[in-house]
Amino acid sequence: MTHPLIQLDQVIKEYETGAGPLRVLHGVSLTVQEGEFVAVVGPSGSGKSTMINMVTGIDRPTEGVVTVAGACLNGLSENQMARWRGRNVGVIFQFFQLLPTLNVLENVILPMDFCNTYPPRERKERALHLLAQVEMADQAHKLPGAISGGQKQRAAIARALANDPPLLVADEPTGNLDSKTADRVFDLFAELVGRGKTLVMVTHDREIAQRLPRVVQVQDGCILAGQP
Amino acid sequence: MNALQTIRLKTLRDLWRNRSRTLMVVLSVAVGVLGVGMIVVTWDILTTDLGRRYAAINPAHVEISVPAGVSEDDLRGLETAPGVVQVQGRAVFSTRYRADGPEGTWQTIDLIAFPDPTAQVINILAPDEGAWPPGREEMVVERASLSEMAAAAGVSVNGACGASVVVDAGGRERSLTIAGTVHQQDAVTAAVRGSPVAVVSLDTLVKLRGHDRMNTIYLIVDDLEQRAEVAAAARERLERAGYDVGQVTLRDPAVHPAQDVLDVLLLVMGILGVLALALSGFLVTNTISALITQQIDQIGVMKAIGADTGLVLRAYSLTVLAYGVLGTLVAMPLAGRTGYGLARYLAGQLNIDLYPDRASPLAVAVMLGVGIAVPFIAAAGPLWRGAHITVREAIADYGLGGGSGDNRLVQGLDRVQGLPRVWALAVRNAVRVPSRLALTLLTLALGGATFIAVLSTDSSFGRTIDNLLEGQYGMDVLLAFRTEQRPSQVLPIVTSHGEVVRAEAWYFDTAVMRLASGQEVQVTMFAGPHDTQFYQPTLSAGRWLQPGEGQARQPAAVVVNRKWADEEGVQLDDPVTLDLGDGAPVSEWVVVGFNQDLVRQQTGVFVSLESLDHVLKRTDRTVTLEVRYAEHDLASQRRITAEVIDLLEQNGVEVFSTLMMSDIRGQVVSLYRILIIFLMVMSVLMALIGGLGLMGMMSINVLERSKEIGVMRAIGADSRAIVQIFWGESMVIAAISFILTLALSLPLSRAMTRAVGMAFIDTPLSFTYAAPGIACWLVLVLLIGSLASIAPALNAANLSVRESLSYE
Repeated sequence: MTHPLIQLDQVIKEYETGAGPLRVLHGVSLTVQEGEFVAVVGPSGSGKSTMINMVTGIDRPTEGVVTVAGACLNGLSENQMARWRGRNVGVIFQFFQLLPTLNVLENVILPMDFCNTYPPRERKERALHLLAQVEMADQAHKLPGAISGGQKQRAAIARALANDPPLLVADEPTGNLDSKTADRVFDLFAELVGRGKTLVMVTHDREIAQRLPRVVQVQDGCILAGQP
Repeated sequence: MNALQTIRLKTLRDLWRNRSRTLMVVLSVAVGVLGVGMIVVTWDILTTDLGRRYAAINPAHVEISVPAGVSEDDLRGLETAPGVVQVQGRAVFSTRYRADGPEGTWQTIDLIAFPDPTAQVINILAPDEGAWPPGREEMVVERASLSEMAAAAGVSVNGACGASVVVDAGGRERSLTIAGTVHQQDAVTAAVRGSPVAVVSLDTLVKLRGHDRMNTIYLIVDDLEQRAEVAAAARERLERAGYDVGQVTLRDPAVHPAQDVLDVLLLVMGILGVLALALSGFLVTNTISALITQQIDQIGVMKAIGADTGLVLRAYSLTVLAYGVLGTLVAMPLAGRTGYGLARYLAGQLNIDLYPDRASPLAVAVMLGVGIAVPFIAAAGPLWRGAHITVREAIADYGLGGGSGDNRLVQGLDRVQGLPRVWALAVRNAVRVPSRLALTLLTLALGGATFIAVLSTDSSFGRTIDNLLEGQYGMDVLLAFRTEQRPSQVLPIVTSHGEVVRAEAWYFDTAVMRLASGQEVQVTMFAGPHDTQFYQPTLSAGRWLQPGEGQARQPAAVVVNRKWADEEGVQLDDPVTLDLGDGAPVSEWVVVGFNQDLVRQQTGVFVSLESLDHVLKRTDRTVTLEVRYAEHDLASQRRITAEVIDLLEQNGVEVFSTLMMSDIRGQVVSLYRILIIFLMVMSVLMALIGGLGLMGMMSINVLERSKEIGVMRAIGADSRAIVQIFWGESMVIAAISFILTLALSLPLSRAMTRAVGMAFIDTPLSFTYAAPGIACWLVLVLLIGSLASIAPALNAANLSVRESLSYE
């Protein structure tokens, strides 16, 4: 029996602009169960990234309730949010966003340092284990500038897994990769979902989206399709 | 709207949108311009006012000293000498005074008297407060001496007028009332000279000295170029009239006597001011470089839609111009205020009144020039590179920004294991943009090195003075008797005091030395025991004095100071004669050694008291004793001196005056303390620029790494972790700069110590590296590092995660 991991309830998001308030999300409701692999698709400016930001706590709703991994995000302060996110959500970016002055291994250890999730002595071993899982153990001591895009993304995935979060959120994770490398990353995601992780992925890639069991289509700040 | 108008609009909006950055650069430019502007204002105001005030007193072109004094008639006779326009005589003499009561202790005072003080024509003394001219039994005190005299009289400064002091009149005591103050601008102040100055009437002069002859003659000549000839003619006329003429000094009426010292002081400060300006330029370089990196996509877009290199150059030049103009506008009023304040402080030390506060057009021009030129010079490199970037290069730039982090320094530091991740991040981030780091480090390190160099100069000055006083003035007090005494009688009395370690008889006088070349030179003669323990000569050639010289057909030996000996071409074994005047026989001597004396007058010559007595055909005579005590602090010196004076008076020997070594040290220290204070102000200014530079660098780093901050937030970093990373980075930079400071401070300290020594006492100072200054700077630089990182680190912690991760 599965439980809902993500629940967006009538979420409205408005931004103040020079021309007045701009509503980006119009009362969106979304539920994602534990272990689901969900694609979020939509044209540019449709509000999909805003919706994902609600899930990761990177942004806050103007109205509505966001509950993720059992926590209501509306009431968390910035610092509480950062620590919660570090423990519960693994974020994967389009441009990998590895810190360039830390080597791959250190990049993977960093979330554990920030959230103090594992005993310091175990962090390195765990990071190496995660890197081995994404076939990056041999690159562990290289700086990000010295590895390829695909390798960076795999390192970023290892980093996202550092604190063993139940939820992984990937924003255009294959958008900056060639098709072969993108396939490998996708396979890795599928494997993670197979091991019980929940994965929400924003993508423009129709081909990849079609391979997912559930596709949430966003347009003009509303969910058009993909609700169970 | 044409392209330039659009660019102006963009520039203004960029400046406004990045207000904190704009403020930082404007402040930095302002501090640099302030450093230079302040010095120029001080120099301009002080030099102008000094010149005007000095000209207003109608300064003498020639000053002739006639120790025995000249009668009024002979003085008038000089008016008809060829080339002489005006003549005025003064009686200037030293005596002693004390508070009007039995408890007062005697102190030295210089008194001035001249006929009809209301009709002065040369070196005019201006009435200040109270009565003028002084009446019978009155004295009008030089205004800078009032506080000292008031303290000696035991009254407050406000209550000094009307108070009485007792003045020694050749053994008798006369009570004089302080009737007012006068302003003397042709000499250094009492604080520097060491004894107060007061004016008395001719009547009082006669009562004090028994005559009204003038021993100082001032001349105004019709042609300044001819003043040497006029002075020589006047001297000849006086000598024909039977006077022994002492020193003849030629003066430039356009140059205040203190102008030379002032020029050196302001030059040293000016150099530091220029350095401060250069350092502030580094921040402009860093900021423009960061601005162009940040706006590289905009440059790409501008070029893609038709902007050429020139247009891009003009676009960013406008930003630089705005920084320069704004910084200069901020600095100008501050420089005016502080510059005038510094000028007023220095003028106070020189006993000069400034004219009312006003703008210095020269300083305004200099500030405008450097305030605009320096930012352009500093920004030239980044501007050129930014303007010449291609569209392809510009639009290819994306990602985290703030330096790739893939340079060799980062790679090298990656091998350093064991650091906590957050600190590893801080250390490696610090070296991420090496050029920016280098400029910031240079700014901080130079600020620190200057700070330590100033402290080293202070210590070196102190040590030099101590060495000189210890080595060449090994006494604690100089006792002067009213009348000549027998050393064989007074020495045992003085040394019978339990705390007197040693006493030596010394005799000082001026003399005319005729050199082997036939030239005559006025010298100051120091005669003491040949085996003196109070004066340690530094011989550059020849030997020191020996016993028995001048007797049994041995020539009397004289040691002369090397510097003027070189100038006059004096050689070892040269025969010379000494004429001490006052009817003493002209004596024959031979030069046996050259001495390097850093304190005594350049024209000092040393002979043994024994040989002087022999050639003067007298025995066992002295008017002064140098005495060394077991304790050397001022309180002990005062106490033991009072006890020794009591001892002497019990034996019928009257002490006329005393000069304590601590007082001499105080006078010397008061002179250079001004320099140290000024240098310290400049080093604080440089430290401020260093702090601003670091803050600027940290702000740029936060700006460039906003995405990184967002990523760290996204993977769990809370505000504390973010602040710790940026604070740590600032600390790392501060620590590296400290190491550089250590390396730079030694040569800089040596250079500054040498330059200041050569400028002020014509010889390098005894170098002392200010080790405590290192610890002081470490604390300061860590404090600067912390303060400089507070605002940027808090900004970083408060960045919105969503905005920092967005790509537009």
